[in-house]
Amino acid sequence: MLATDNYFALFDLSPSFEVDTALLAERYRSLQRQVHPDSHATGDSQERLLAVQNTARLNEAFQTLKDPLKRGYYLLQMHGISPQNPGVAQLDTAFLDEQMTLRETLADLSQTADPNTALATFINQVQAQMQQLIQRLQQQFAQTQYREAQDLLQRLQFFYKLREDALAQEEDLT
Amino acid sequence: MALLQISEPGQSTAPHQHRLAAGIDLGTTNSLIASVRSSVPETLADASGQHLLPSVVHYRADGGHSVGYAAQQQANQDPLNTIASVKRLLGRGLADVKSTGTRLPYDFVDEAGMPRLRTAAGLRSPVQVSADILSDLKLRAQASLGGELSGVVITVPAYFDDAQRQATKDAARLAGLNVLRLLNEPTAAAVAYGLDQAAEGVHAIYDLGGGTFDISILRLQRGIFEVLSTAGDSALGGDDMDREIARWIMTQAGIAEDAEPHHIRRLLGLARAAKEALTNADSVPIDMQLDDGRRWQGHLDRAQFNALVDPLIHKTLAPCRRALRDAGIALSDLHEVVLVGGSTRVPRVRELVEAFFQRPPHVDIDPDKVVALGAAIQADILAGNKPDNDLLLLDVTPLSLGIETMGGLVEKIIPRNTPIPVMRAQDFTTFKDGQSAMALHVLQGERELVIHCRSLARFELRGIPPMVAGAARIRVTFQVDADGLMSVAAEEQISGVRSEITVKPSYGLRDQDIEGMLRDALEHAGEDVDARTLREQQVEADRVVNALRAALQVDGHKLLHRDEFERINDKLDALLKVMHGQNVQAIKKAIDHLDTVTREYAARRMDGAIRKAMTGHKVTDFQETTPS
Repeated sequence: MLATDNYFALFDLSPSFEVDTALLAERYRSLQRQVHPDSHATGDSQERLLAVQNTARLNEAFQTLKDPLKRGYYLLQMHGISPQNPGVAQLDTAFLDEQMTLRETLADLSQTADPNTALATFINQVQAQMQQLIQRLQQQFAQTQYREAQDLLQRLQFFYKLREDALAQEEDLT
Repeated sequence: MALLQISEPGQSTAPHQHRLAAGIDLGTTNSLIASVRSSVPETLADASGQHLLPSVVHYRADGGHSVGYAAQQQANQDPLNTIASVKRLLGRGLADVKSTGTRLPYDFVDEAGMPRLRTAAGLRSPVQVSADILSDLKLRAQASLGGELSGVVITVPAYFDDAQRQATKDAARLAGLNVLRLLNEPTAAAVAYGLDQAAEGVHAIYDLGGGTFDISILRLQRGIFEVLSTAGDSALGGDDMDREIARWIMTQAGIAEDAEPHHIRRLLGLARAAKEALTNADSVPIDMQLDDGRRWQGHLDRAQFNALVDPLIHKTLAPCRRALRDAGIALSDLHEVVLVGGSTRVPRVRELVEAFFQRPPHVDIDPDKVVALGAAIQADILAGNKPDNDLLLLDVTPLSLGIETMGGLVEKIIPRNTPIPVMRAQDFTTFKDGQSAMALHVLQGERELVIHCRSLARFELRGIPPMVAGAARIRVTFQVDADGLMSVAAEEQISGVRSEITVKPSYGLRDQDIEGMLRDALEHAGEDVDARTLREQQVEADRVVNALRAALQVDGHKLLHRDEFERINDKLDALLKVMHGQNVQAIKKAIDHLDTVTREYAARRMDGAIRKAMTGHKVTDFQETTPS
């Protein structure tokens, strides 16, 4: 049962890039009550194994739909577009140059007088750019422009990685 | 083992008697056991009315041992045979223990990477020492509850890695305890606190114990405790404060670095007393008597103490920041900060935590007891005593899990703070023509290089048919269960060659070891193993019969064909015939048979139960493709 539905159907949502995250979280919690191993703790080993598998799948589904990047790739996959497909448009060099510059900026931040503040500002800027990309993604998906959406998702992925590295750097400072 | 109990998830099929269950806080410094009695969780006292059990074991030359206060009294006279703070060693290799900079006054023996302690009663592993503490608590519970425990929930620091969790579970098995669940300490505290205060919203649980630090961010909503993130340091706690003070005294008193173990032990004792006194006093006198007749007298004041411990407390704030960020929670979204663990009694900890979170922390429940109380509540539910409860705990993995790839790098497969249980797969391939085997190295940690992560296990997938480099598709699947314990499987997709392991580090115990130790322990205790097994089988048979009858009554005719129904009835009759007899094997066999004939029925019921859970499920145009 849990194994055959797509992630959106699992939460009784229609497939879309725009997701009501509050509703998603609420349905996630109510499904958890049913499938979680703790609700089957007195069952036999088979039932408990099933509970673990069902919960793992529910968690995976929730993590996928909660996150814009994962959700976007999942939607593409539902439309038969996989990231490994040949013929994926290459990101333009201007974008890659820009990413390179951002990475150099990030690398130099720890040498600045107040690295904590500098990093916080940098992270905020990255997040603002991510927000913009997500808004554009919403439009592309709404217009079923999947190739364009794929391009945007790839860009978004660069920003995710950049933010992750910036956060790791911030952690090393403390 | 055996049979279905699923008319409605969370509701038991048959009324049953109250099962004795307990929650255990196995702490670095102190341990506690608690149980729910007449709907109220309470910690259980020993015969002399003490609730806390110092996590100290003293081993004697006659092979016997004592636990708790009695053992603690031996610490100064007989330091090498008195094991304290063993939790710091649990699930760790000797190299880890040394690298954490922990100076423990014990006589270590390194056996194949697994540290053992040389005591008058022979070599003892940290798992065995922990089991001795657990056994003591078990006896206490059985005396005070008046019967055998059907199961326990044991708490572990949220930041414990797989090896440390596995070692805790091994210790429980060795103590003859049935572990219903390993529960993260901050989550347990949140349960006790949340139910007590009827709290809703997002909470931070700051848990500083004797040897471990955890921070968890949880959302409490209508009975669901959802952990959003967790972070910490599994080798940081009040013990470190004691050591800082002891070091300060050594410098002041001119005591050499390589002092005798009993000197260090006494110093640590003095340091701890000074720390505790400073909770209320501004200055405490210290009087250290040395063996050579010298004597040092001095004072430690609050300001000096704060200067000594500030670096340690500051070390807890970086994880707090990280946990908030991983949870996506701003300070302003936070409802409350709750303090847990004995070390949060230190006023300086409260000051710095208040400054960091910009609000006074909550300290309503005894920080020593709150974890055990929460564990007791969960144990009561998991034992099946609370069929109508609406409490549910959703936890996460504390550390990222990954696998070694080319160049000594770690490829993360399950990132930290992923909700558990979780199952995830990643595909790898061969890099040489005709490569027939692949070594897999499983790691836990946040860093990119293998050498900076914790090595959990290595295993090999053999028998890959010859293919050109890059043609094989090896799918590695990680699974983390609700206890936070991991298993890994690898399968070559084209040939179907499989390999699978439950991750057990080399310094953990092998199953044979555990069985051997259990046998020894049972013989030593002079228990009647046969009688016990018989009793267990009878109880199990009883459970199976009741569950099946109740299930059949609900939907047996709906879900089963006439012949299926009859087959089940035959096997049920067979079990009823033997279950009150003395033949253990016959009962076991009858249960197995019944289990076999009801398997399909159980699956149908489970499916029905889940179908019901799907809110208005509908078929969509999309079929899910396999995630890569």
